[in-house]
Amino acid sequence: MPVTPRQALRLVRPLAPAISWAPIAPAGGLALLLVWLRAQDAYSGPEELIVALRAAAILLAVAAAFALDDAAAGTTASTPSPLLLRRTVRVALVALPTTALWAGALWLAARKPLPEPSSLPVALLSLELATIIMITLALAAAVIRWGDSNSGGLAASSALLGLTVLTWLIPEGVRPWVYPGEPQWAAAHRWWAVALIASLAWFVWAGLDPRRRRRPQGPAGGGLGTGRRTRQTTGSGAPVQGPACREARQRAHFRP
Amino acid sequence: MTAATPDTVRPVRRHGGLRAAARVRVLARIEGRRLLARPTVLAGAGLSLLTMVTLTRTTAPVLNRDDTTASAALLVLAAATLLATNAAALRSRRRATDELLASMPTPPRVRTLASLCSVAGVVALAGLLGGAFLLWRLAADPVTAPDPFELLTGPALVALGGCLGVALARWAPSVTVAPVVVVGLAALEFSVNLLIGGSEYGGRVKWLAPFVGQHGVARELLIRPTGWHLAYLVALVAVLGCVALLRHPATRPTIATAGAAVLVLLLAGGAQLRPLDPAQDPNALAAELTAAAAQDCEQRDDVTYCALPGYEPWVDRWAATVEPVLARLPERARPRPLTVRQDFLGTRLESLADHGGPGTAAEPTHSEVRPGLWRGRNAGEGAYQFGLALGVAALAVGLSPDGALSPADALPGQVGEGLQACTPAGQARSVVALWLAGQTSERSAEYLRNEVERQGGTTAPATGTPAPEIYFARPAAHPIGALNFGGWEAAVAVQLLRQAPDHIAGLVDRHWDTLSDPATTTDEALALLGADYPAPGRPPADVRGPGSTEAGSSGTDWRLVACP
Repeated sequence: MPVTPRQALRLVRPLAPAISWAPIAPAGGLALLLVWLRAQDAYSGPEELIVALRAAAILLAVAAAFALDDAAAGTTASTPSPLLLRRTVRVALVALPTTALWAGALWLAARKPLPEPSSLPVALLSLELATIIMITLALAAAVIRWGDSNSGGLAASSALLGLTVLTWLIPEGVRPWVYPGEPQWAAAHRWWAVALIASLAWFVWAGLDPRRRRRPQGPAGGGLGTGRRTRQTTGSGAPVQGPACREARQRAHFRP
Repeated sequence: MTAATPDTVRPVRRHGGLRAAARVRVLARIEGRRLLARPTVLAGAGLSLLTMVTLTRTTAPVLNRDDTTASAALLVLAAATLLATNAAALRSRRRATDELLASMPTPPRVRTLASLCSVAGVVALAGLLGGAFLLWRLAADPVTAPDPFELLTGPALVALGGCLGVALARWAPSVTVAPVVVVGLAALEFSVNLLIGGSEYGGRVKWLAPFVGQHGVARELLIRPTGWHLAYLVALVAVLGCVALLRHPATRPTIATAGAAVLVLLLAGGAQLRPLDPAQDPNALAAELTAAAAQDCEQRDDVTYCALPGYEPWVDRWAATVEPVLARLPERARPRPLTVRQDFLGTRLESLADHGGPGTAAEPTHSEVRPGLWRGRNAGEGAYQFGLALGVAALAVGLSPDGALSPADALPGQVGEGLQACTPAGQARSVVALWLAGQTSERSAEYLRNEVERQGGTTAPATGTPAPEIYFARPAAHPIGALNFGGWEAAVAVQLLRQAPDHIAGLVDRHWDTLSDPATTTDEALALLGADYPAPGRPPADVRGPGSTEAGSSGTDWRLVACP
């Protein structure tokens, strides 16, 4: 069934209070503080500012990682709105303060006068931010799909920090953290764009509703004892537990 | 069904303390085992090990630097431990089993204590990683000695991360807090180490951060209060543990421990911040150590080798690089007396009286090559051998170190920092020096070939000159670091390396006076050595000879003039 913008707008109200907003304010504040400190430092040049902006991007991604965590995943799985739509609305809601904070960080960085040939590559740094956030969200979606629907943020933010260290350790020629003027600058950002598209594709795939439980064979097409027992899952793909499990059983029992 | 009788019920109160300790032990063992099996901790341990190897694989073991590197690498495991202990301490909250646990005989205080004690396993893992790293470095011909306090700092950092994770879980019980704290602490470390404490001798406040690096300054010249810092970290661990426990009704032992820990924290913190004695001037210390090295020099053939205390095993390596250069030089061209004197060039020196800017060591003289405090290994060995050999070759062809950089008072306009650097680009002696350095060993030649490939295409678009620049750092170079030897000259040297060394050495011997003359151009050298510019293309005539350019490839740093 096609999804209308109206449907998405209607989801804003119930989903907004369900999002973990708590990490965004401290992470954003810390990100702005970092960039401001660097911009104030008389000895820092464009490279130091870029380092601070990248640290700010990682902080914002860590905060955004919790956007998909849903303690009520088992319950919301039975709502008619598709999982991907619910997740997209969540991400869009978190994107609003994140974009504002990033704009603030860029504004703080832009206030620092730089030597004439140097300028801040705002567009490409924003591409890096978008990629970092999208990779984090894709990781969170993967964790939720195969694990706990309420631990995606923690696992994804931890994985993001590990990835940051790992990418810092790889040899210089293939390291994604390059600076303007380096020969790899353009090529590295092509790879950033590829990573953005790949993580976006993964996010979409992980948000598709899992395959419906196979319909039991038989003339009536329903009823307990007529079909094979299959693993019950929530809309997020995680195994159904607790009240959601009971609810799923009831739905199976009273299938028309 | 059997009813409990007064005989079968144990007197809980009488053995309460012992039983609580036993419960803590059992829980801590289980939690510790689970902690060690967590993917976050395993990944953190792997990344720490990878960091240790990555940071040191291209340098020879210098144990008084490697100990700090090990602690720096264990910061990754410390961060992972923070995340893992926080998640473990919040398990009951995440899984909504707080009410279930409340019905258990184990009170929350015991669970918190067990969570704190469970960190011991990861601390032991950190110790193992640090020990394994040290053993790996010990097996590769190390110099100097490690500081035991520095070595223990790494595991203490891991304990700090673990206890902070538990304390955060008790006082800010949300899974969103720990990741933000980790990034915040990383930023704090970065800022305190590099911004607030930028001055090595003036900024003692940096010692309040959990980890303080060496920032490329020679360990011999640093006054690092490592013992006090370790005491500070241990006290901080105890304070954080008590903070976590104080979330529950306070007990006398907790309050007493907290009081003692705060006392030690203040004492150790204060000791770290104590201003340094002006008598401990690093420049004076450097001079003292260099003088000590001068008193214990080793003579081999015509060369004197003076290693700093602790670095004596490197003399063999230096000799293995210097001798092949001297062997290819005509007898009359060998620099005499030649001294290879190790010193602190290349490390940042600051004076206590003026700790705002970098200081300089004594100027190298015309008969000295001064290797620094690092030595290349594995992939870095070629660069090191080439640099040392180039230092000797540059002396032989008359490129004196003091001509490398000089004030540019006479130059019109504003030229960067008012400096001019000399370049042998376009001079025949540049080709000869590069060939002499490259033929030292296969690794040295490989380094030159790779650098020509990497830097060879560099041009100076800001000045409009098409002359490619190629920079090599000589061990005896001025602190500015490197000289532009010329891209064409380097390419010709690579071409000469493909020919028989004896043949080229014979030509160099025959035409030495011409080739080492600053007025001889690269074009003339090609004719004498029977070589040509490598295909494709030739440099335009206006950039073949020695001349001057307005600036280096960095645009505005200094003005390049032909070396005298």
